[in-house]
Amino acid sequence: MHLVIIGNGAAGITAARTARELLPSARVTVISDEPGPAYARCLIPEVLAGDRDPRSISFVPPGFYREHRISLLSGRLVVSLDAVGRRLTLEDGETISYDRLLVATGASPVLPDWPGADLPGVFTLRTVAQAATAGEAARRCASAVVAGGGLVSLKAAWALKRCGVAEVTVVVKSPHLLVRQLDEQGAALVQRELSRAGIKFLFGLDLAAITGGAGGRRQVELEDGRTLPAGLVLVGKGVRPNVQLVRRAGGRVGQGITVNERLETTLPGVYAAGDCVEVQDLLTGAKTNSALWTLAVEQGRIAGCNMAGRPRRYSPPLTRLYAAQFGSVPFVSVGDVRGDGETAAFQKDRVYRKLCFREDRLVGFIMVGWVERAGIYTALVRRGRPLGRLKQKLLDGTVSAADLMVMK
Amino acid sequence: MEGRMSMTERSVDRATIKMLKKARSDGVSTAWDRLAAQEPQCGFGQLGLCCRNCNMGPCRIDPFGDGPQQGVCGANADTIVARNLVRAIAAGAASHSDHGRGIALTLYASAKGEAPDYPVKDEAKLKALAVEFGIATEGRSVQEIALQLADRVLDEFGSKRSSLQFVNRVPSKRRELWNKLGITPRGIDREVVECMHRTHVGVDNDYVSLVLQGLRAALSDGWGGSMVATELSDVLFGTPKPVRGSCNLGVLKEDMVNIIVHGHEPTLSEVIVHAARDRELLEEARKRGAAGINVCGMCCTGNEILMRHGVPVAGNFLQQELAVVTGAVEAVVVDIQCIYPSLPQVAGCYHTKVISTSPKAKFPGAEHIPFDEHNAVGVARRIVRTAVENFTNRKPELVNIRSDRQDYVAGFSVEAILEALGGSLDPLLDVVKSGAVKGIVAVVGCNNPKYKQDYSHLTFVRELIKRDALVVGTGCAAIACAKAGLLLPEAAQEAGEGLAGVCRALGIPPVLHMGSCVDISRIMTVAAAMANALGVDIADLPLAAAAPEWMSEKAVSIGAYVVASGIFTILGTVPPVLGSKNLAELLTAGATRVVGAAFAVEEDPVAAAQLAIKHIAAKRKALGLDN
Amino acid sequence: MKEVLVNAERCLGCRSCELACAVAHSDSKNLLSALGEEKKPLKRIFVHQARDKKIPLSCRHCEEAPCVDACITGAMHRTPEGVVTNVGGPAECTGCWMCVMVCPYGVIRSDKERRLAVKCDRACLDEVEEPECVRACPTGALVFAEVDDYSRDRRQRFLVCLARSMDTSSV
Repeated sequence: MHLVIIGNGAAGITAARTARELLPSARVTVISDEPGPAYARCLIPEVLAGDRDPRSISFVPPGFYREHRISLLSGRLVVSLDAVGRRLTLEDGETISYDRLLVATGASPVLPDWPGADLPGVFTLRTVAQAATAGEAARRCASAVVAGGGLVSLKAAWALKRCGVAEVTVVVKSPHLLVRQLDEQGAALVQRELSRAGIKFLFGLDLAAITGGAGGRRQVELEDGRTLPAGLVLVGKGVRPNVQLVRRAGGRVGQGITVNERLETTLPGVYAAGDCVEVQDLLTGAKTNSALWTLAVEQGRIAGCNMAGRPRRYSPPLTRLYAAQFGSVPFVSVGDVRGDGETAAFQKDRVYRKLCFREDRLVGFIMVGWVERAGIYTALVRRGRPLGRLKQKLLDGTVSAADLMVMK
Repeated sequence: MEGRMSMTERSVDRATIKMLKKARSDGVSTAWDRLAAQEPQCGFGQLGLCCRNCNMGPCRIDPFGDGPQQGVCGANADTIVARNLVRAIAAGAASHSDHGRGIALTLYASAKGEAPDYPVKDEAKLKALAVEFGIATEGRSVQEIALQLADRVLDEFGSKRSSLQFVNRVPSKRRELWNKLGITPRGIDREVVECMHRTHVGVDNDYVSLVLQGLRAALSDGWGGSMVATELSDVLFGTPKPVRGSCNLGVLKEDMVNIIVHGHEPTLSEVIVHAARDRELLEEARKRGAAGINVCGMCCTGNEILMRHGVPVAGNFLQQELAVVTGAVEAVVVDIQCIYPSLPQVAGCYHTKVISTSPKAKFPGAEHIPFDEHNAVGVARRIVRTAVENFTNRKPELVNIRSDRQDYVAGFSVEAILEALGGSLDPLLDVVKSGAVKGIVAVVGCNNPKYKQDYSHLTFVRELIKRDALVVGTGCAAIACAKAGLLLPEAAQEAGEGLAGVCRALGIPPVLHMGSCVDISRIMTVAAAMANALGVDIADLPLAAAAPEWMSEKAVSIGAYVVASGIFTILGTVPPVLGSKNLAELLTAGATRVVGAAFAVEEDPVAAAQLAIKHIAAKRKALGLDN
Repeated sequence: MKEVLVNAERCLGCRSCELACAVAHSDSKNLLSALGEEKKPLKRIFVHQARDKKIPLSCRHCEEAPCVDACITGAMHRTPEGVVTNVGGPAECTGCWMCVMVCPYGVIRSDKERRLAVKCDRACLDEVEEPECVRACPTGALVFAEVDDYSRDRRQRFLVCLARSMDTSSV
């Protein structure tokens, strides 16, 4: 039995580990287009900042592959998949046969087709190699522009400040930061912290072009005609799932690779997990692509079980689960925080909480400045039970797991 | 759960260790076993951060700031710890003072002719006290003087007067300080009541204010209730003079009826000693095959009768159960304070009877024979008879009296010390000035099973006498010294040259047993007299005090009045006050600024001795000695 | 594998477990000395009350722990002994709070100063291999037992009650 996994990220590694535990005698191979062992992708802003060495963010202990008898083919790109013949072809021509395949190819950052987007000094931030290179460049820059107001962009902006870049400007199309995660009030608290660190913001704008080659003064042109000097441009405009392999092989693709409740694609013997798949949101039922580390781990585990012949169902997940901290401001955002139903908010000093309800059920929440016991709120969002008197405790921040135990 | 401590870790006293082994094989649980079962003890309690004063609670303060910082009423750690401390002082002061009241009432009854078994034994002391209280003595009978004195003393307990007579013994500097601080005690019961009032929910919430009232209540004990107990006990039972006796469990005799008197009131123990000499009862004993009746004391009542009569003392606080474990005790006769309610259980494993006597102190499982001053000898005879009759119930197979036994010399009342010095304090002051005796350290207090029995007492005392500090002792600490032979003149060889020389010259031991715990008032009297003779405040003298193994609330009151009187006091067991940084600071560094003396907490007796010696050296320097 | 299990009917809410846990995670491991430590130790067990029920809550060391899944650095891991912890693993915690966000028991807390997630790490086992919270519990509400032994014990107690009630009812 040969189990092959394309992708050495959260989903791929978890699947490999799981499959190995369930099938001690099978061959397990992981193919990654990046060099080195699996690493913590969410830590690459720290590599950019220079706080972490690229080699120090390994996600697995040294000797992991050897101990678990996993063959790692690193720095190799899979270019085609023959689902009928159960065979992969790599870029260098080598072919690999499999009995079961997991496609955990992740997602790729979106780079809009602005003129000049291909100039040197323009980076997306998805791989540790990019972070290391951008970090080097940043140290020689007096100015940088970050496009996008999402998590990756803000983490990058913070990291650039830590590199010592004097002028860091974040250009955000939306009216405020972190539109996916926070509302205006919550975002203001985070923006305040980032501003204190010297980061500048422009809202309601996008880049129009990037000009000036190497040696020339690099600049960024905005939609309103303004220009900003930019020794470095970092683009955080989201990611797109890497579905090409499966699509070309004839598998169905929706918002990501389409999978059933066993995480099997429409190609027999081919599973998919991680940032490349399409999932159905637990709360809204909508099909979407949710590139979250924690979902990838869980999917990897379940896919690994199914590949190893131990059937397990993957239930529709919460596709919105965000937690981070900038400076001294932590925040958490879970579930449906659009707030188009009943909402309740609490604000005191620098602590902000917003709860979103639908028919007495908690469907989403935002916490900024204080995140204790957020998991209980998450559990309530998952559970979908009527809250009753618990509502006030949720707002006060005094809820505990004990309250869940006495809930009817 | 069996104790985690091994036997040898529990005590330095071989008699104790032997009896602990016997207790284990006899299947008897002791205080050490119960301590182990209690562990781990509540951390909030240990820190003093638990309040149960009202029904909005019970409340706790989180010592790490990770939980509530205020009780429901709003009291913070400072308030809660201070209130708890004041209540402990009140309980301790109340115990001493109620005992003192009992003695005063006995004198009163005696003077009225209603207590024929309690004649005045020391007329000279009676007259001296009368003079002190401004009562005429010329041409008046003992009864008349005693009646008026007892009446005046009982007045001290009330609210009509606003000062206590014995406070006039205190040097004027100190009295002025007390007046300035507002802590001069007004009435003995009054201060205790005010403590209880102030610690009620919503009364005194300022920790400094609370502590000052605590000091005042303690002073109403030290210069009030305790002193009344001491002085009037001397009047009724005689003022102690140097006397020899023996101590430890080996004083129990296999061939005699053994009666242990345990508790605090000499009104009981004196009469039991007397009744045990009754011919008829001795005959009864002989008929049953006993060679005689052997009365031994335990704890403070043991101290009272050993100070006055050299009656053997069977042991100190932690040995009360173990005496019964010897299997050779016919009766343990108890009155009040420091008596374990486990005694009837322990006694039940042997033939021993536990006889309670005080209406204030009932013990489930004990036989109660009510005792009062009006029919003392009669009841005492009945008690002794009960013990004699129990002799034939002894189970020989359960008898095991070890031979550990040591002689002591005790009886050092103020009067006895003065007599030994030739009638005045001057010789003592001279040797202190010359440095032959560097200073005087009072070592007092209980045992505590959390600490190796007697280890801290003995180590501390030995370190001090080695460095020429004269030690005066009371209570269970003094009994510890007695068991180790430190109360014998021969013990001078363990002392430094200066102290040894003084001991040999005067024929005294390096450790002077001054009596029971209320007799710490004797130490106060000596301190006041020394200060007055030198024209200084008590706080200026090269003195220190220590309670190396204390456990009771009475000890808290004592520590408070000793510090408030100007004497540096070292506690060898950690008091429940560390939950409030402010309070801990006040009791240690702060107190020096306020009352000229402070507490220190030091569990290691060697380190504690260093503290005492350093302190004494500093006082000597300030007085211009040792130049 | 032994777990810390709760006989909730015995919990008096005394919080001795909280205190013991904090002390076990101090530098000095001693209550009185811990008071003086610069960095106040953090408890990892929490006694809460819901209506009239008091209950101590601490990490369940889940088999498929959501916090392990959510950890972006790989710091949160499960040891061979079955302990879920972010200490001593293949990577270091960066205080991103993903674990806090997904723990349904709410028993992971944040150490804001050190920017670390803090939870029960079973680093407190005493000389008889018992966690400090269990040792501190004065009523036996907290027990450290194999799950099956614990269940069997509860079944037994239930049967005893049942038997008693059947006896009296037949009279």
